[in-house]
Amino acid sequence: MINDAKVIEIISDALKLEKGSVSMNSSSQNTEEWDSLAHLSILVALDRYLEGRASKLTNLATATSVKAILEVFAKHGLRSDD
Amino acid sequence: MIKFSAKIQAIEYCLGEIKEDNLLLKRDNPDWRMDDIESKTGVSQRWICKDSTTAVDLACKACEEIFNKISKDKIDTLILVTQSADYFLPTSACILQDRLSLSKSTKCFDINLGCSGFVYGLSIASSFIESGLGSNVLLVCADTYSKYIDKHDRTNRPIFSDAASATLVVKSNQQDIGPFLMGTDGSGYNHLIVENGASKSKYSCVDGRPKLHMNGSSVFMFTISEIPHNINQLLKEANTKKEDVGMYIFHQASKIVLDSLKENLNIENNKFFYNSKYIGNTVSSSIPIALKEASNTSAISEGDLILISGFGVGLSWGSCLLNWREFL
Repeated sequence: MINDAKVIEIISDALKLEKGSVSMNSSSQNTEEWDSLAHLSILVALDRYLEGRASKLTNLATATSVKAILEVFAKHGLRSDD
Repeated sequence: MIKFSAKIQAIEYCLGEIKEDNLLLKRDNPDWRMDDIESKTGVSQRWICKDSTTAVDLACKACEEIFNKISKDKIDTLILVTQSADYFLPTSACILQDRLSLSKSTKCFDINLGCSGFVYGLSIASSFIESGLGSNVLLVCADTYSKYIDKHDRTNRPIFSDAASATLVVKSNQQDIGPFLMGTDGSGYNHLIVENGASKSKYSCVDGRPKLHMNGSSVFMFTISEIPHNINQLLKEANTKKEDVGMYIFHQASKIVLDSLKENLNIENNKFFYNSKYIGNTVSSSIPIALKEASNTSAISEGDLILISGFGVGLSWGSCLLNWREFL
């Protein structure tokens, strides 16, 4: 399971941004560092945190916003409320 | 699972004529963050062929090197793995037969596969030998993906190189090749594709040339979900422990992909071979080139158990085990 704050933290670290730079509204459209290669780093980090469960979620490939990622996790029962 | 009384006896390769480093990419694309790109791709230089050079030209050069090791008269089968054919037809392997002056009794055909192509080709070469259809099989991989890549394509240009390799597969007294485990998922066909120029686009091209498109994230997700499962399944069916494999040599897709696979499979650093930094991703040639380099640097030696795995465009994948035998 993964909560919203952890997703934001993981994305922030993968993009090498300071805490607070990534928010619920962040996406590849409004975050310069979030390009196609950076998205791979995000996927790797999420998969590592979820011990291999993220790599099974093919929709993550096109989930290039914080909200989209959280929606994918929610759909597969991996999004935690706490 | 089947093992084949065949072995790899020699490998030679040829890279594109023009060395292209990351400074050149930066000059062409000033907004690219090259340090970041290089840290993820692991590639600092690529080899690009001249406009006039085709995959068959590169293949010829690789094969001529092999003929320093074995007389061309002994070659009875030529398999060419390519997605950069000289023409829609005829078969590029037929053209290569003529260019190399091979006997007219040589069996020649193309395999239209990319990153998984060497493993598929090796399975066919081994099958020919096992069945007696062939004794000295020349398995050639050749691609010039650079001709499909736009110079401003940030996904593909930093990664791909042009190259050809020629691998001599011969009969062995021992079962040195196999087993194999291969698979396909055509639902991902459009994740790595040259969409234009052929029948589906009514032979039309954008800006006069076909263009490669890769959805890197989708190909990545496919790789890390499918390949560890394939490898674990191969080892299980071959009754082989992960620790018994002396070296894992994968298709040199990019550093971020290889690092993820290594971590996922829990492979020790000294058993995982990288060599794409100064060569790039040479598509189906990446595994034979890595095998050659691993042998040249003594990273692998006689009797070592090697696991090779190719995966990508199609989506297609294949892995196999082989006992390494010293080259001719």
